[in-house]
Amino acid sequence: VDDEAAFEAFVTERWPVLVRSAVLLGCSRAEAEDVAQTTLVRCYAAWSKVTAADNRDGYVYRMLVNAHRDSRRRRWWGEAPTEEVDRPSDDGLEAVDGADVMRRALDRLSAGQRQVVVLRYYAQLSERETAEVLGVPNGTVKSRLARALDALAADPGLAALTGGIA
Amino acid sequence: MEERELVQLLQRAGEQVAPGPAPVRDILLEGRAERRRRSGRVRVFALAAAAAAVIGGGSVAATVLDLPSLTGGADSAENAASGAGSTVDDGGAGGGAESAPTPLSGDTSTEGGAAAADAVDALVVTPGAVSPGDTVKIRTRMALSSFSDQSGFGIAWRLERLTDDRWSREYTLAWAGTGSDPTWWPAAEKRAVRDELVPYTVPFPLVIPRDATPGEYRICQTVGTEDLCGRLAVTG
Repeated sequence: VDDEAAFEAFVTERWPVLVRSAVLLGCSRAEAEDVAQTTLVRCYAAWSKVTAADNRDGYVYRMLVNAHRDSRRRRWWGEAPTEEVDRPSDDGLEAVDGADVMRRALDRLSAGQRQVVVLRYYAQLSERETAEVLGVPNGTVKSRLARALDALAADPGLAALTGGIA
Repeated sequence: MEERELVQLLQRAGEQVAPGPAPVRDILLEGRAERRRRSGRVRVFALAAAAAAVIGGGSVAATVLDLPSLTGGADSAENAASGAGSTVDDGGAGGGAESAPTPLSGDTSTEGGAAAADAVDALVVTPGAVSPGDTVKIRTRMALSSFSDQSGFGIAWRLERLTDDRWSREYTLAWAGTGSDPTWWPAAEKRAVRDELVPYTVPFPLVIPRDATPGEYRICQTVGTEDLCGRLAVTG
């Protein structure tokens, strides 16, 4: 990378949001940091493409989603199931009721629905950008979003919570 | 629930995550190593291609470049190649054949879009020339950190045809769910695909569409930011 200072600034700036996005996609905080680190290593290796991308955020989020998928694939093949889901207590969400309710609601969505919700409403990508990141047609994003919003609207915990939002 | 409320809740949930400091130094070190691995793959390809040319041309190149994955490969030549720690990333000039252009960002004829990437001839398709309806088998040509025989293949395959020096997607693989066989549909139909991880073993069998037009094709899958492809010819 010719301009490592620019890359370092990019890492420092994007690190928190990438980790948070990975947590919202379903990772523990430790897993999220691994996924974010993998994403940024790949960004370094393809830095010229990252900087030349028309939509840098979309490009980086696609790397993040793929890194997340890769981590799931490695888990699938490399780790034995346990009776209890590993849920580290230091993931930063436990102490906050609202965040916990949101996370539990996200847990109940399908992986595809969860991705579109996080990319569209947390990463603030457009539907078209979300479709590009996920490599699916726009219509798929729309339908997944519609189903996800229906599911979230029916979530009793969220319903109670949203009643308190001004 | 209104979208505005959902945005607020997600922002709140995100803000409650307190990431540690960015491991800038680790990322730089790993990033440099990754770049060296990638450039090393290019160098190994160049050497192998040159050797193949000396030995006897393109048909030999396919054999010479048929490097094993880390989990496969039994003969001594393959083990020698993997033992050298070499992986091949030829940047789209596979098998000594011509280099097809990399799809441009935003090119709707391929996955392209935000993450248009160099196509890597990472896959071996056998046999290399088939008729429509024939079954080919696919395996990795090399070890890739995120795509290896060990971890199996995903399902998001596409079949692209070389037309006027450009690759254009002709078919996408559809999968109806557990217990069914994957089938191709024409890319022009714009149907949704189930995004599933399917634990196939390798070599991975695929049936070439019965209505495929004869020509030069490649079978591709995007992993990470790379388009990993294997070439084949469909004859009449």
